[in-house]
Amino acid sequence: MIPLGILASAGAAPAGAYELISTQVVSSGSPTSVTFSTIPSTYRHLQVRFTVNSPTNGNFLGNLYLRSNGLSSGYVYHYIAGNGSAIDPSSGTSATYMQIRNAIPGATNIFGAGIIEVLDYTATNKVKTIRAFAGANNVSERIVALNSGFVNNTGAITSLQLLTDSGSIANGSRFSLYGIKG
Amino acid sequence: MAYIPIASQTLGSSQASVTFSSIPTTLQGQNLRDLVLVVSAAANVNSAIRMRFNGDTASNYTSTYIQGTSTTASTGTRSFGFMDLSFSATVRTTFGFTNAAQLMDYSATDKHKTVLHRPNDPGAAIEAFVGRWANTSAITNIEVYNPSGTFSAGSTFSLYGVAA
Repeated sequence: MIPLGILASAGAAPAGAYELISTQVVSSGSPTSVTFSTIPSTYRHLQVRFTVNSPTNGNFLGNLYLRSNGLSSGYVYHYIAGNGSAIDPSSGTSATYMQIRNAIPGATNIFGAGIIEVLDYTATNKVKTIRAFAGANNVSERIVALNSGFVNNTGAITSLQLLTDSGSIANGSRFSLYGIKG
Repeated sequence: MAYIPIASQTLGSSQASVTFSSIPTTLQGQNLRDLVLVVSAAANVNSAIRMRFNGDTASNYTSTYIQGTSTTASTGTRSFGFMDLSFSATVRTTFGFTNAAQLMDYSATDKHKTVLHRPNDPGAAIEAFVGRWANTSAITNIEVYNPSGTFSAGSTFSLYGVAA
């Protein structure tokens, strides 16, 4: 696979190994989430690349949540974050979502960004491991975070939902889903 | 294939900087959304390396990082006329430094440009950065440079576009 955008050490991926499945760009409606549904099972891993803003957060940062298959329980996650002044390690167990730490600014033109990877998403003998690298430099708050977690369910993932912890997703926010063959 | 090579440079001799210019927004019939800059480098002196966009040298770059060495974990914020590609002088005189910088929505004119990257030199430190270039212009030019010395021959710099 291509972890977090870094080429495999053996060289460039062969043609067709990394494919765009779907892109959603928010343009109206003030949604609080976006969902990729009916995800095809023809890949080995998934990657979501996003840029996001939520005016609710103003000059500070909000969290992004991820759910798979509509599940609202069974998530375990850890993150390590730095805000320029202090390092913040934390975790959640038996959570209703996987948290992607402080990736959503609210100031005009300032978007947080992240890359999420869901490994072996169709394997029915595994719980699904999720990794995310995300952050933002907003006016009054700045965070870079490494996140990981899993959802305690062996079902193949057929949908991914990304939600704000508060407020709506701003126009211009973009979420792209890629499939990685293997 | 959504991950498309744009250009690559392997240095035949030492030089202080590398530039990617006239960066396209479409390639092979696909609209590009993100850029990925992959660096594998050594230098004539241990160096912290930097990048700038579109020739902008004003203090429009802010980076927040976390760093782990063999003994210490730290975090900081830096605002200068450049974006760090490494914080510590981790580009050494022997090859080991690598980085893959994700330039997200690089051509969007409604956004400042956010960059995620994780520089690392196995002999020194591991770092994670989020940077912001406070400019809504599309990125058309990337300069990677060594303010302390020169990149060594054999250093590679590769630019990829991610279609969306």
